[in-house]
Amino acid sequence: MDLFKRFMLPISMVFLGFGFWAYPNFEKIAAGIAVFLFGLWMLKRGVQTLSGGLIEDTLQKVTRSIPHSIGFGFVSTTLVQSSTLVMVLAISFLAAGIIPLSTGLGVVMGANLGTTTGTWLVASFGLSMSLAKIALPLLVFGVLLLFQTRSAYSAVGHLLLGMGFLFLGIDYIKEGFQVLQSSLDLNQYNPDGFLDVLVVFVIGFIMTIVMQSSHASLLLTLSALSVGQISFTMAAAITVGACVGTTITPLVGSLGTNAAGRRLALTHVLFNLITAIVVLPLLPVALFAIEHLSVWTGITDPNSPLKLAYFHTGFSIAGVCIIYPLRGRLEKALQTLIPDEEATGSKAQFLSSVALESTATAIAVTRSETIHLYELSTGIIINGVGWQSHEFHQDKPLTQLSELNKNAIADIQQGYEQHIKGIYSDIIGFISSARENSSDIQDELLRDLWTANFHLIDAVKGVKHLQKNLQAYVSHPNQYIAHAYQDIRLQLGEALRAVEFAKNTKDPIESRLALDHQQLIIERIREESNALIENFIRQRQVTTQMATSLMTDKGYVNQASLNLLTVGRILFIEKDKPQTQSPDSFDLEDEELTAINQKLYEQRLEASVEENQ
Amino acid sequence: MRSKKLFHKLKLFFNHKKQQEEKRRLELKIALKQLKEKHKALKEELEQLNNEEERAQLEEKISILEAQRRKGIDKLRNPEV
Repeated sequence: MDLFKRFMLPISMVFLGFGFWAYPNFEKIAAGIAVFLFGLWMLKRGVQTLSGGLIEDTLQKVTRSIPHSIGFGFVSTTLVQSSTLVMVLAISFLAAGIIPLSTGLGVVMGANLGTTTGTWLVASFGLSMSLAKIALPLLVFGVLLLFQTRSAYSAVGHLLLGMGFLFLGIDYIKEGFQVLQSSLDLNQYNPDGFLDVLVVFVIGFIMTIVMQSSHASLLLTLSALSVGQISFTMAAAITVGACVGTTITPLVGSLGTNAAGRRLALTHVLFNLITAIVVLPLLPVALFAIEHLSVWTGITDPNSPLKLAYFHTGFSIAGVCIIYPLRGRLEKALQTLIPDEEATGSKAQFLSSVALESTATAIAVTRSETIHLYELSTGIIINGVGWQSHEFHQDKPLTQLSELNKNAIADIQQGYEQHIKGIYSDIIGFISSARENSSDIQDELLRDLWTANFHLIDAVKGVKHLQKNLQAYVSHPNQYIAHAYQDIRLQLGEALRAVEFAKNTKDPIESRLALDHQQLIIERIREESNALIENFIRQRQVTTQMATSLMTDKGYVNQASLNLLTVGRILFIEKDKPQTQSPDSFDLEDEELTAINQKLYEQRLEASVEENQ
Repeated sequence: MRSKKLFHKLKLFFNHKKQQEEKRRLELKIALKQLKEKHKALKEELEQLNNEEERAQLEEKISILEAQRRKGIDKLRNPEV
């Protein structure tokens, strides 16, 4: 694909240069398209910044029903005026396992309906009035706001500039076609038969792939239709081509994602292709119906762009009517056609370059991938300290878990190399790319995820360091050292269980309290450990060699446990829930934890003295 | 009173930093209220418990909440610290 793009750029430039030289009138239309596309880009950026990830957040919550997801697809595409962007978001979220395929299918239908709003706007207002007059003040106000430091003002600036450039582009294209009218009459290529319609369909398809915007193709078609350069049949065939062509960019983007993402991209293609296959042979019937509808609604001009808006809407509604009843079968067929890949464990499952289109999406997929890494890492840790993963996740007390056979215990270093290192590197690389275009808040979230990954790997490495001693001492004939290493393992197990609790509990206060409580216990163990080891040595219960090993390993397990708690806080306590809104205000320092432990110790001592009296 | 409130809002509108501080203060207040409710619920739960080990665990959690609330209230009273 890169090679194709590399060749396409110089070819397009040469082609455009030749076009400008041979047909000077073509220059205005091409400039209009360029300005229009730039306007779309600005508008997209403005909406994304202003919504502050609202579109992405909403997409995560519209999993309730297909009508909800259709509504989401329609509204978001209307707002950003880009079905490609909405599809790219949906593909990324589906690939990250955040939304199911049924929701994705709803978004496809909604996005297709949403693109028709652009056609209606251009057909209703864009071509009937001089938009340049509105565009100029919009550009002035847009630039003024763009240079403001507050991101909301700057986003409104992008929005106004986007609208200004869109209007300016429409005006240029409109004027370009009026000038072209005198020198070129495209009507002479009017399609006669079905084959001709197919050729025009392909032209619309290619136009949209080249410009990567169905809006641009439709704008050209509407402008050409309004000045009588092309017939309504030709315009309708181009519209169908544009609808299919707009599915190619998300399809290409999805190639880098997993099976789930590719399934949705294919659904998008199939939705438009199946509708096109049904509509194109029936085009004369459809156009006849629209002619009648136009007359009925008072449209008498045979070249009215509003007729094309009717056709575009009719095409999208027909698509929904065809696909909606088939959605169950389509889902099954896609599952068979693109089966889930076997999880290799060493490859990132959710990250793809397509998710970098929107930073909010990039954050969501990074979170999913980090949770994936967390599951792999904790699996390796649990197995590495001699427990069985499935048994650990049951409610059984840690002291009752069965011991793994020595041969069944995984080597943590090997597990790290084979299953973790690759994904960890992918995540860090991905976060670095995502941070390039992030806002301050998004950057903070990405840095948090970076920290979570770092602490996770640090925890794995910490446990790796103590694995050898743990294996040797946990069943040692010396009961003191054996007991001490059992405690080390239990401490790690309790920390892992606290994080699991935070993962599975919906109440953020409860989750946070579980993690904080574990931290309090770790701090207490740390404070007591030196006295305990000293006592061991003094009483000659263990050798000094055993004692120093124990001291080092206690350090490792404390650090690994604290690292896991940090991972839990970042990954499983949602940022938008109360008490996590000002987490740094509640984070307790070591001294504060020591004070709590001291107070509890004194209270318990006092209670026991009273009891004895 | 009304004009005073309006003037305060207008002042906030022009002072982005102050606006952020106000927002943060409000968030902290909500969070503190939630902590207070949790603290009360755990205290009630403690009164019902007889198991020594479970009581000890709950006491620890209550102590954490108390420390966190103290810290939050200090921050609310003196945001500079």
